[in-house]
Amino acid sequence: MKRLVLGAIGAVLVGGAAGAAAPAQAQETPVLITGATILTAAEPFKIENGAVLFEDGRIRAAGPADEVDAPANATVIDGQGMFVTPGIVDAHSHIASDATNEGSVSVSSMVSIKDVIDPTDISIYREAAGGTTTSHVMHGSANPIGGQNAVIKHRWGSDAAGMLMDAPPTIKFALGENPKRSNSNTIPGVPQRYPATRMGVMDVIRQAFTDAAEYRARWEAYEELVARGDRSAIPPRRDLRLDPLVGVLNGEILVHAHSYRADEILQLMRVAEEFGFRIHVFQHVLEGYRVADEMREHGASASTFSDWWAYKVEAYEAIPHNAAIMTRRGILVSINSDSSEEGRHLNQEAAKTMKWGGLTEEEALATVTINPAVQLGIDDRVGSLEAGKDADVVLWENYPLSSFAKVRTTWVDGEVVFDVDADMAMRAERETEKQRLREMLGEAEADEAESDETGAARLRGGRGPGNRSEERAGI
Amino acid sequence: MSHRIAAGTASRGAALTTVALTTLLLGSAEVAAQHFPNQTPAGPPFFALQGARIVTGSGAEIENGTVVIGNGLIEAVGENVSIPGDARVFDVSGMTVYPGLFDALSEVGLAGGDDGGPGGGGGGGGGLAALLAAQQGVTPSDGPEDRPATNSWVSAADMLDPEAGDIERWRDAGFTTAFLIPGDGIVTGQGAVVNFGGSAREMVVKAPAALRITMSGAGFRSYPGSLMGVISYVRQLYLDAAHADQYAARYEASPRGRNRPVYDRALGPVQDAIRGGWPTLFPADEVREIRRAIRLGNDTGARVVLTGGHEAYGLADEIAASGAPVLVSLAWPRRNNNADPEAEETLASLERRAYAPTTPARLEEAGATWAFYSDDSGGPSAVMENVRKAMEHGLSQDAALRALTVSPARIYGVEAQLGTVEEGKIANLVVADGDIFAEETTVTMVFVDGKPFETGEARGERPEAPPEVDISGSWVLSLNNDSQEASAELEVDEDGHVSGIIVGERGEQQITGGWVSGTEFEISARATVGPGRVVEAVYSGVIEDGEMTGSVQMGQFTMDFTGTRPGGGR
Repeated sequence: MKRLVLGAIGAVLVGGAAGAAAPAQAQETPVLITGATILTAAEPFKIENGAVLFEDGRIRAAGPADEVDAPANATVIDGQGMFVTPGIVDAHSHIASDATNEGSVSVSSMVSIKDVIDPTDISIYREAAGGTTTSHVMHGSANPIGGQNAVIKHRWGSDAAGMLMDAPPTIKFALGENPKRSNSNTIPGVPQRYPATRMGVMDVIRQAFTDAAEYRARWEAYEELVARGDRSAIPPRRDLRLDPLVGVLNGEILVHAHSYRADEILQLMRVAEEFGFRIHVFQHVLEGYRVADEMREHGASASTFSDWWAYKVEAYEAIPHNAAIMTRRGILVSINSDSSEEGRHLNQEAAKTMKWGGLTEEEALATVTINPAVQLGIDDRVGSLEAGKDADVVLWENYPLSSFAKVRTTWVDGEVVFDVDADMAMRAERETEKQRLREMLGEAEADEAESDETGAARLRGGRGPGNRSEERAGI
Repeated sequence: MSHRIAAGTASRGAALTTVALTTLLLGSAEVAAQHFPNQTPAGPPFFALQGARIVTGSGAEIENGTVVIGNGLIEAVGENVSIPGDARVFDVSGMTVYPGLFDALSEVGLAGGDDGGPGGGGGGGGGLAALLAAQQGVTPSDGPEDRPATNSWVSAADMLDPEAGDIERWRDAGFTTAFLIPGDGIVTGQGAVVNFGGSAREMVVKAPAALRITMSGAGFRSYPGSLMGVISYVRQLYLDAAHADQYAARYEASPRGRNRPVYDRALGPVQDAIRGGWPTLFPADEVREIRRAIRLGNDTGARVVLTGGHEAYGLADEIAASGAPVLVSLAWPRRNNNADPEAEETLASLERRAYAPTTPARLEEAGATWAFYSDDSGGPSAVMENVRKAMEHGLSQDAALRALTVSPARIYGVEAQLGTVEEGKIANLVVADGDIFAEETTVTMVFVDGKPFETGEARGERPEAPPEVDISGSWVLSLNNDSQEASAELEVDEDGHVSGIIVGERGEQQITGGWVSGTEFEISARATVGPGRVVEAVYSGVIEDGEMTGSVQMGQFTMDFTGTRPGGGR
């Protein structure tokens, strides 16, 4: 089995560096992981001496080892002493995109992260090495109404279209210091952008939805004319800024609002209610513990940090018990990364909720699996190990909700995207390939002497494949 | 089309007025001839090139043939064609005649940027900045200011500077035609297919020939600031253009009770581009840029021309299937000379440098439409050097020639007039003393619109006076206050032509030409300044008391140098 996995992953990763590989095909040989402890993030939560069977990109079964029958051609992985979880879902990420903020305007709903996915971002691979298989790649927080977000699968080696997951559309809102640009220097010669206060932030949102409602009415009037057979009716101008806001008004686009303080959370819920829509998820929501009941009543859920706070004024009142308190008040809570570093160990971030506030093992794992899946509207596909769901599976060498957790292999849609042995083997392959290319370029002599040494240094330094910093495209 | 005429009003209108006034005042046929050369040609209109190998680009080569040129067009091509009695005949036996080379994207001859200055000739000049400034006073405030980055109303054909020095340099190398387009903004303007000869108005072959869209945002300063903002901006632009068209049609059908359409010079050319299916250039160098551009084309209806193409080698089939033509940059990716010497080059960077020159051969195999463009490659000789690099990576000579002749003509819709040596086409021709892509080949003569241009030395740029000093033999050159050293081995023939080699710290420089006259000399050399990067170096100065003093110009840099004989001279 090891050989097989090695070959497959080598092809995926080398192709991935060129950025030109075709999207990974669902693997046809069934895979059975058996003898491991399965943490399903569903019912039953924990299966000792369990097994997971997947085939053609889908989970066929998860249960006690003696109840899961594998087909004769299955690749069998002995998971004794190891753990299996569903792939981690990160509800707030900024990896894999060539742009984050359209910060020039207060309402940037016309832009979409889907247009600027960068499938060559090494963070996709590195986070997969930490068990993350799905990420909500969000617009930044520079404006009260930001851009449209994207949900990606960490299908390393596939192109931008192949990364995108068919998920319900979401849009970013932002409250407080970032949209009012309190921590940003003004640009010489450029007037300071409105708004500059929390009042202004609400005004911008209220005005935008007033415009959107008017725009929707214009289209309805036009459609009525057409329905009545008026062939000379002229359609209103399509407005890419207002189209998504109409989607929000109609409940078709889910709002994810960056927020910190209790007052602004209450403010936004009231403004949304004025226009008849709901804030689907409050992101960060560091003072959510203070307004949990109001949020529950509104129908909002929460995606927060485990224990980041006090890095700016509006984050002073945060407490590490936030996730646990909100959970106990009946709010669906996820823990997110908002960082390509945190995105590599969300399992540990989830585990902190057990220490701070005493969530159970089951509740803790849910904050980075099934809960974010529900918040993104993709819980029918990912977030737990259940028959019929996507085969996004992580095999851990030891207990995942601990500082000692280490991923052995990560599968996305049944395809290996990370394997620790294959990774080590691939480093040597890549050195050979680099040397071949240097020879092709006629530059081999100059580099020959140092290549062994730097190769070894790179291994010691733990640098993964495809460091692309110097290749990172400008905007 | 009306907006285009309107667009050019300031400069072109002024020029027309001057012509009209002069004609009125003098009423002379001479003035008319000057401005309408096609009707009243000045100089002999008939030429014949006799005895050449002719690479027609449209079928078999002719081993020993004749090309007859009349009134700017190719009158006849073949082995047995009769030469009109009044034709000026050039005996070019031993030479090869090619179709004029066509640079598929360039700014040569475009009066733009800081050094544009007030350009000569009919159409204007002075650059985009001047053009914008000139129009500011007459523009209503709700003009393109609504879309300050959409300069679609700016036309390259109105910005030509026939006196631009670079034109001659490129023509000397066999380039008779280029597609020119301004570079500022998100929609940078309308491009023109231009011949490298004649007055500004004579130069234009086709205008407008294409639009160009860049993907440059303005950061937090103004919308759009980010790449995703630019993409959304372009989508909205195309939606607005389509809506304006629809509105105008409904309005024209029944204007009563409706508000008139708003005049918008930024939107008009985009409407024309959609209706007319203009080629539209998008930056598309990296894999994800290529796919984004194809997708944006599908979404907006823009007829995408992919520009850059250095990572197209892995996507050739996908590109061919999309139908989008590719303009392949001849500035092959280079190693970053400013990189941290301790940092190891990434695999991705190595792959890109190693495989980019395979792109032409891959596109050719896949059956994609593609052409070469010079880009920032360092001048005509570097361009040829880089074409050879693609040939080393599997590109056939025929395909290379097509990519510099008929393919760009096809992409810009001028293949009926340009790109091959065929009867009835514009007489843009190159006469070379060998295979046009070979390093040692010299272009001896170029025809543009049927007019002969001598190249390089043949133009008599070398002073007449015979040499008074001996430059032949070995020299030690000390450059830039002794900071660099080079050695030279020079030979001089009896006419004072210089050949030989210069060896600098960065390697050998092959001397491509030079002369000595009196005590003055000038030597041109081809210098390799980095992997795949070749520039022309021109050493000029005087020899007095057995020592050289002078300066060397390399690209945009100039250094002083002195030269002495090794061991203290003879």
